[in-house]
Amino acid sequence: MRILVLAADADRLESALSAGGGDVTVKSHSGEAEHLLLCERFDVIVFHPRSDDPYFLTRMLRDYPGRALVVWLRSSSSPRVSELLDAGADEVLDGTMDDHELLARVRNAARHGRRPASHTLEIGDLRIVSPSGKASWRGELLPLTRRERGVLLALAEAAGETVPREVIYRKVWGYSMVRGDRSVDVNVKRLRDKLEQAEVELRVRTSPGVGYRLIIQITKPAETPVAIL
Amino acid sequence: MRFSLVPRQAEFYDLFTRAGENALEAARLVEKRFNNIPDTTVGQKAVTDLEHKGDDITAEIIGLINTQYVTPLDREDIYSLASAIDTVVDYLDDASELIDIYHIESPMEQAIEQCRILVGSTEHLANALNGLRGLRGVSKQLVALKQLEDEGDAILRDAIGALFEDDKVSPRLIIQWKDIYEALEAAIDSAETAAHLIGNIVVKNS
Repeated sequence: MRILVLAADADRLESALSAGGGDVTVKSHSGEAEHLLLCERFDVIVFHPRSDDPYFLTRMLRDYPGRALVVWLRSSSSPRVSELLDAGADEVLDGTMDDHELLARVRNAARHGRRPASHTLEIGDLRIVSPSGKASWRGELLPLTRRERGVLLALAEAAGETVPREVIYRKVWGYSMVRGDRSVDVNVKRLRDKLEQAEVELRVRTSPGVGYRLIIQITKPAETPVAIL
Repeated sequence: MRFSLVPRQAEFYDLFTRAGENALEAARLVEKRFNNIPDTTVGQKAVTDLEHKGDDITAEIIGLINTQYVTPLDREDIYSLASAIDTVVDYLDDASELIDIYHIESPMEQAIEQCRILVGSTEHLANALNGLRGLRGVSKQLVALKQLEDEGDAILRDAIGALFEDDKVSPRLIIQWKDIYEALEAAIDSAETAAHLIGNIVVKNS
């Protein structure tokens, strides 16, 4: 179980959770923690709420679905605990709990924490399984790379609407796009080639200066030859 | 080492022409590599081969200085200019090699712009070296090269600024591209250094 702890004074938490076999990483600044979350996968995020960053829990709920969110308070009160649970926290720990209880509550939060909803998107005969992005056309798995799958999923989720390059990049690469970066364009080009090669009746259209959209390509029925008399 | 009393002045000019053409060819190849990322049809080996060819030309020029009693230009000027042209190709090779070292998957528009500047600069440099024999039309080439170098500075500032516009940019990407932009800029700057040396030669010999 990988646990990210975001708290300034986390020695006790770290030793309690590590003793229980958790792979614990401690960060004292939210910026550092959020950067780490972009790069690595954690099962549980334990954090101490700070008055200067009141939206940390909201951001975690929005940006990292599937991670158990556990709040660490040095001392708690019933109204504060209720408020945090109502706001979406999976568990609230406090300094009065002994090490065994801390560990048991974190384990429980990890077991019952929110799971990413796996669902299938269907566009014509194209099926994409989210969040993996594995795509198949008429039952045949498309040989797409991880990035290409991500780009296709981002476009498919927008259901024909234009998706700006920056949004695709953020979803697929997990970072902000640098001005001038051609990563999205390169992957769209490859995706187009592969869709065409697999005779997928979908096309990725360019919205000049903005981004891309996925549209269904309607194939014309073969014309029947007309006999000229 | 034996000094030759039979002047072989034309050889110096021919070698400078070849060095200029070699730098231009390397710049074109590097531009192709940056334009075509992630396609690796043009591999780094082709660029490194030109870098070695540049080294050989420089060695020939230095060998000729050491064996000639009479040289068409000051020995120091010949040596400095040969080294400066060699440095242009060295930096081109360095920048191009970073594509492989950093496993770059997609190009950046600013790097493509820098490559355009490099091709233009080395083209003017090659023309100036070709005109060295009679000092014909050299100044015009040097002015054009200087203008391109100024444009290159602006592109570098914009490129590095873009990397730091947002604090959620991948740190890995910042490291990779800052190095590449700076290597390309070093190649542009060294073309300008070569141009300054040619300018001095023109002043001394006209």
